[in-house]
Amino acid sequence: MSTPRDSGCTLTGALSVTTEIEGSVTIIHGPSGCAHHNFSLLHALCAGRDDPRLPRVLSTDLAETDIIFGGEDALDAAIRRAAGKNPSIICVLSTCVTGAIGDDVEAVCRGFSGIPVISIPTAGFLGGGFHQGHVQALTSLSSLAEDDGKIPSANLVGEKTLETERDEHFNEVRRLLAAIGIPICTRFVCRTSVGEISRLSRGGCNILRDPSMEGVGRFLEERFGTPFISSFPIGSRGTIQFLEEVGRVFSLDVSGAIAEEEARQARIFHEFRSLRGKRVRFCDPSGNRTDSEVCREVASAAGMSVHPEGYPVPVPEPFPVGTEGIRRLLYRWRRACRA
Amino acid sequence: MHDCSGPLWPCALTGAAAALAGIGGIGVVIHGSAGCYYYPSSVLHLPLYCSSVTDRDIILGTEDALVRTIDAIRDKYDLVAVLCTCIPAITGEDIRGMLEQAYSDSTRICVIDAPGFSGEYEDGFRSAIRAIDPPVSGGKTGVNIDGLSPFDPFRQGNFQEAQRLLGLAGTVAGAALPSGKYRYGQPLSPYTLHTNPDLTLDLGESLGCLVGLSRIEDAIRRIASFTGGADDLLEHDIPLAREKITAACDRFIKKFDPPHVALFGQCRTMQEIALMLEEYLDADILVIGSRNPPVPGKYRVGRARDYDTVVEILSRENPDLVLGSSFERYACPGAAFVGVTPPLRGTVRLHSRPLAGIEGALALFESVLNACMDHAKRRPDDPSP
Repeated sequence: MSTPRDSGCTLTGALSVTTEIEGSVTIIHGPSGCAHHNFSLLHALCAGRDDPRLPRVLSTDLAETDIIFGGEDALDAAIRRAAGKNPSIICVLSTCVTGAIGDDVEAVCRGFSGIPVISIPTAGFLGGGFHQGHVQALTSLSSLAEDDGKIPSANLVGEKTLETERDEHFNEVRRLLAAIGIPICTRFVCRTSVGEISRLSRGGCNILRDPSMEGVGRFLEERFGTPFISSFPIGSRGTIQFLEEVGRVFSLDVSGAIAEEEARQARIFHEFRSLRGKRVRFCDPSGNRTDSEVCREVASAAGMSVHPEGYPVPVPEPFPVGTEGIRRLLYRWRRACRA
Repeated sequence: MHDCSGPLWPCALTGAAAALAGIGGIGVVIHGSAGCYYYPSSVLHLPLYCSSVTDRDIILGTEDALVRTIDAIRDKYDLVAVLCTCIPAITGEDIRGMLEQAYSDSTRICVIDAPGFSGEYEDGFRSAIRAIDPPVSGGKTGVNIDGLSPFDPFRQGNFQEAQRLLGLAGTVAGAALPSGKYRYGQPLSPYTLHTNPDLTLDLGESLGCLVGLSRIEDAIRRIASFTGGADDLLEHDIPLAREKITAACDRFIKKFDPPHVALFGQCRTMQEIALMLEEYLDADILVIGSRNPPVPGKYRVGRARDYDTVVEILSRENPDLVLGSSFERYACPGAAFVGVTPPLRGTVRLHSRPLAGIEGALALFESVLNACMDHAKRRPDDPSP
């Protein structure tokens, strides 16, 4: 059966990027239903974060006559209307409908100058889902980057902007990088300006959100010669390895920062000393039993043991990032052991 | 103007899925790309299936993808409803002929055209119910309840309230459609009571609608005309509700000016709510922003299906009370707000709150008066709410 279970539309993936560009307008070239679906999901997310901003999303609102005669005129009019809102950039996302009727979206976008108008092919039926839209948007937007000299700084690539803990993950990576004196050059793309995207090539290292972004990492490495680290840090050992890896890329001595981080981790495990001796088993978000190497490592460091009859403790998806992520995880495990 | 900025209302496909996915015995297959599946699946919280067509299917034909999906579920359901999205509508494949050839009489399949570009949520909703053609039987007792869409956050509350009122009126709830208590193929009673005036279905004789106290009274009188017993409701419950609402509104008006109100949602429903607000609270109804095609009524109505239009209406009318969805709440943070239209994001909702029926009217006024008083407390020098 081909019913999808764990992914969204290609459009949603692309919108999770384009709506994070400050001052952007995103045009969804298709029927209004496609835009409503996504606008509503983004609204839900903003509401969940108590963020009153709503992304600027326009639909070309194609109807039957456009399907018959083609939707390029409607797109041209929509881009003109979007330009009237003085955006920093206009991103044009295609849909299944415009893919099927064969509108030349790229050509319509090329007809505009002044404001950057970027075409991102995102017809949902192209076989991919959310992830492909995310990747497609990042690779399309990298065309805005100017090839420039490197500075000792890192880019964050492919942050999952729809994640509830997006800001916590960012803050933790920023803290770890600051501990070894590396600033962030560009968040590609999360609350990012067009100017910051244009400086993308200056970052000395691309830190990918997770290994699913390796395609984008390789693409940027080829294009700008920027090496990449394939994931935000996960778990206690993973966090130390992350510091070592960044240190290697920038040829820095990070032993002091590592010692401090290990001490921080030790303090956290001490804070949760009531968990020592507890027997636990790991459960996925649906409550099914699962296994996780990083959870075993954290459990062991906290003095817990894994047992089939142990307390069911959650393995969060996505896994919390860095040393502070361990603290978040242990709060949830302690609550599960008390329940 | 062709484009719309931040569309606020779902398309015909979501309407069709909302109409059928809650009916027992029907397996709903969305025939289109995976993207078309994701949104209805996430907002309806009901089982849906998808043929997940790809570009290869567009070139070579979508039959394999559709048949594969139907094969996987057909044993579980009495009827498989295939909802055709924009893509099969554009490619023009003969889906009915294709499925007739593949299954003949071995599987009961109903093909419904629901491309998003062809219509509104309500169009898709009604055409899907028409397509399955629920049989009406003269011998069936009870009263059907319709308008119970799983997209509606008040659905469960409305269902419980309609059941309660029917019981007090001396009869029982029959089928509840589409997402209440109904299995495909079961005969319906010849009488139907509506819980949403914008989603009425043509199923037997209409007994009226449960939104608005006057409408409720009319509906109960009609029911009483054949049950012979709704005296408690007509002589006690409805007058008592009116008395409570009047007393609470009087207390409010003694201290504050009546609110200037803008309502956003399905047109008929908003008109019924506006009538009550005017009658009991002397509210000034500034405008109704309609998500679906407007119908004429007592108040000024404009189409409000996209966010920019909502913002424009709100800044022009400057209401001090807004009834609508969380989109309106975000667009007009300075006004008192009551949620009556989906989506209602950013708030915790655990219990089954009705908008229809006597309890629905009481709950509405409770929310309106509390919102207006809270709003007034934030602006202590201003008597307007």
